[in-house]
Amino acid sequence: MTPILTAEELDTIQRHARADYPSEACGVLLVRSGALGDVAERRLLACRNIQDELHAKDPERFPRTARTAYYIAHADLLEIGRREGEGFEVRVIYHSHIDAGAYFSETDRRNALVDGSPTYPQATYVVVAVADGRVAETRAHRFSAEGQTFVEIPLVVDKGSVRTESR
Amino acid sequence: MAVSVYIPTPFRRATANAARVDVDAADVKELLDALEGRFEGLRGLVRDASGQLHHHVNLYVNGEEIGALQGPATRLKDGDEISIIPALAGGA
Repeated sequence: MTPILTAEELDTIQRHARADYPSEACGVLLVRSGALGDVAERRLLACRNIQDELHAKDPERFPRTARTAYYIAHADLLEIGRREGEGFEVRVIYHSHIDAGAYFSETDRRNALVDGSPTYPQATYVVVAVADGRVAETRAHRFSAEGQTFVEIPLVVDKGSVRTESR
Repeated sequence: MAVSVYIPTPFRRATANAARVDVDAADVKELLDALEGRFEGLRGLVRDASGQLHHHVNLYVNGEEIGALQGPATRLKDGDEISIIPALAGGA
């Protein structure tokens, strides 16, 4: 199975999730495939969660705070767009859940679809559960074309020569 | 007004893979009308059936989100750079 993250990337994501507790952390992994035989270029982009700002400005449209929701900052979205223009693609979208499990919630599902189809069908959604400031579990979810829904998949991590599943 | 529109990867299936499209439009609403007129597949992706921008799609004029400008009535001028980018959001 193709690894989703390197051990270093997973560590960075989990540290980000711990650092932002009790707010949800979020970010993306962008990958640009190299020319034949070249190693792909990977950029982990830790993003800013602007959910609290949106909630303060428009609590009706954004009833949740950053404790239970994330919204990647516009500057980061534009950066992702710029990187896509350079040939990168969104391979992983990660966020944390505060004092809750690493499941793919109904909110996550709804926001990952545009007009019923997955916005980024090739992306894996990684969710980090942080409880009392500690990482409790990390799980991966992906859109299954077969079932037309998001399903949990093994979070395969590349640890150099050894590939393991991580929780 | 001739403006350049950035089409994000998830929507390129509607634009024959074009990442950038040049459009003549005086404001954002006109721009979306023109885009949907040219690319039938964009209908339903950017705006819903009632013509409202989907809540999970963001539109930027020169890097400024249109919600912070005049929304669909935001005027455009020659050379403006428009970006359509799906929001990345969710929660527990």
